[in-house]
Amino acid sequence: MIQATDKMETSALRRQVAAQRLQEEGLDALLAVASGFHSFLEPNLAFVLSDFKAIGDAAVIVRRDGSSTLIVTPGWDIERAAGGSTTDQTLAGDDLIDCIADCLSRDGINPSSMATDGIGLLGHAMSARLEDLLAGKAKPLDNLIRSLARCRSETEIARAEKATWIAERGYERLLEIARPGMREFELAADIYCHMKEIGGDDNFLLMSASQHNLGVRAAGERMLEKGDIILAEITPSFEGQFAQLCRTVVIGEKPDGYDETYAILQRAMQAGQAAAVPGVRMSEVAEIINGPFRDAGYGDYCRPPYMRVRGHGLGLTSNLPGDVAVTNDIELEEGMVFVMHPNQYLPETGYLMCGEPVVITPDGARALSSSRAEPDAVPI
Amino acid sequence: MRRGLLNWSKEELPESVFDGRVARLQGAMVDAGLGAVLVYTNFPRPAAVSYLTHFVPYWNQCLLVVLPEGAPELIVSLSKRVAGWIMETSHVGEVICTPNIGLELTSLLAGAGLASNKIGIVEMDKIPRPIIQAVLDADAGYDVSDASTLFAGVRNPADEAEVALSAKATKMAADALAGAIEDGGDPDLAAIERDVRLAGAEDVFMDIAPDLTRDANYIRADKPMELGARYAIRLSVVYNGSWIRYGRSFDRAGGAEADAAIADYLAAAIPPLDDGADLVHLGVHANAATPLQWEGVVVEGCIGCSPLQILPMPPAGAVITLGFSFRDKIGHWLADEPVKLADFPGKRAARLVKG
Repeated sequence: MIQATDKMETSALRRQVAAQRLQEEGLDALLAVASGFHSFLEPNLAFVLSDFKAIGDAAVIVRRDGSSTLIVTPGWDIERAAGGSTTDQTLAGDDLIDCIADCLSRDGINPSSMATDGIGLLGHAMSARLEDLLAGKAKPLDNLIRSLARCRSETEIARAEKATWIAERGYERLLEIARPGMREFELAADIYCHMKEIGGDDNFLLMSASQHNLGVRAAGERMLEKGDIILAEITPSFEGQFAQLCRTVVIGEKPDGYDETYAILQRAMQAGQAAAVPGVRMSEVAEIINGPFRDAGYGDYCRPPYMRVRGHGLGLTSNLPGDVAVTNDIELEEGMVFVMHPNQYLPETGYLMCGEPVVITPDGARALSSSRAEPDAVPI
Repeated sequence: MRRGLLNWSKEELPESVFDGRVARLQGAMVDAGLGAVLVYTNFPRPAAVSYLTHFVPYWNQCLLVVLPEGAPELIVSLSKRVAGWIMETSHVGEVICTPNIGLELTSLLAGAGLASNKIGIVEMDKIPRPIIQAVLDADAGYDVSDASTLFAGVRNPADEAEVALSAKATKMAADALAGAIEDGGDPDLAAIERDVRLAGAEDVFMDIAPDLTRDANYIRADKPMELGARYAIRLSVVYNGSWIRYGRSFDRAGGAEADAAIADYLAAAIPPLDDGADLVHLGVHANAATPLQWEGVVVEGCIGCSPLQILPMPPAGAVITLGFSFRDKIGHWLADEPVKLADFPGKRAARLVKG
């Protein structure tokens, strides 16, 4: 884990590691590019290396001596970018490729002595323009930044804990106000705005309800009813760290056997947390999460369309270790953060959700949340 | 990230509206000799597919395949578990769920018996490379070209449904801002968003120009920011796939005179816009803003995948947003106003809400 205690140290240390890699490769500079899209599932390479969320396309150039330049679009955002970035220099313009060309020319950086990361993440035309600029001579090191940011720093974990705290308050709000007669989107609007009020700077919120869910989806106009099962995937962000809670709530009285069924998901979660220690492969964790379902006779449901994955990485820093899936053989490392969620369709209850953001520690996957998912119900 | 209401109100947007839009595109593609048109959609670029089908991906990416006849088919990187929901909220023929859009696309094209191997792609420049590469690498030897102009030609003028939905979105924004600030205090930003969402908006994004005495640029309001003596709030609101921006400036010392001047200016300058081919009227009526000095305008509208983009020459009949900048001796005044341009010369342009 990167031992960084403030935001300057985290992104600066990442640039330092990148510079070391350049020295090992005999290269002079790394160009990492990113779009202005800040997805809860993907890293934003410019953010990782600068700690600044650009409005538009952006790039960071790291030189082998460790010095760095952030380039943002649009040009008028220069003041905010310079104030927020941890790079040595900040430039801005309305055309990212032109700005990169100017910077490389001014610094005398030859494309043949460069590495790149993320060009394929840009649109078709911008990728082509950038490749033309580099004349096909730069060395692609795609996934370099994703890899070197795969373990969160202490600062990033603290931010993820804050995002988790916001998510938990959002869930408390749901329990407080959900009632029959309320429409799904009204509940979602209130939860979202509540989380914004207490510091959430972005949010991916899926929240829907049915008497028998096939999956969670975006909120609709459906009116909540007695006996509904509300599914909530609550994913706020705080300073670039997304955290996700998966929760399930019954409106009114829970059906017979509901708690016992939900307990399968809870056992799967506990088993997954215990198994997820440094050195273990993610595929093994996913198999262990499937165990309680198999033991309960639902082995045939441990596949799509009854479930997709048992969790996944979270943006904006790095989405590694990736999906919690039997096909993912990545080895877990201390400091990796992701959401573990043994969400599952079961024939008796429909789709149920249970999940926490976790960080890998020597003792297993520690939940960043203060309380675990329970078979909650809203009394009416 | 999208997180609001996703719902298809067939009362406001009947299936016939989408049938008509797709038929216009199919007619244009046949005229252009295209065997298929591909339209990409993801979270930040949902507008073209939403216009044709009502579908909006709440995450991940999808591709709409429009053939010369029949309902469009949608290839989605979403779980099969939500295929039913997609069919409920979208007007498409088939939904194909896959982790590999390029592979499914080439398979679909190969099985479609295309009359022409010419494939048009809306905003080809911005589509992810793996999808284009799959088409280029296909054995069929497709001739790929950009279909942005073709799509823009059928995208406008706005139909009655789009105008009505845009007007509703504008009213949501105007109502939320009207009640936001009292007695020169700080606005409750979360309450503004809550009002718009509770009114049924699919989504709302807020930008703020925090200190108009220094700078007239908007910044995304994703966290609390210190607001100066004069500031502006702009809401980008989408309702049933129709996007507008609405923004107003606020001065803690009052500003009634400036608000009145801007209202006078809008009343004088917008109707003569006619069909939008000539925006010179916006500057000609600058005197109507007295005592404010007219600084300029940014015109935004939708002609492709982006919900709103700068349009120096907006098409006739389009719903556009005019982002005005004025100035007095203390600083800037901003006002963002949605407008429906006339469909043809001789008609008049109109604001979507009066105020």
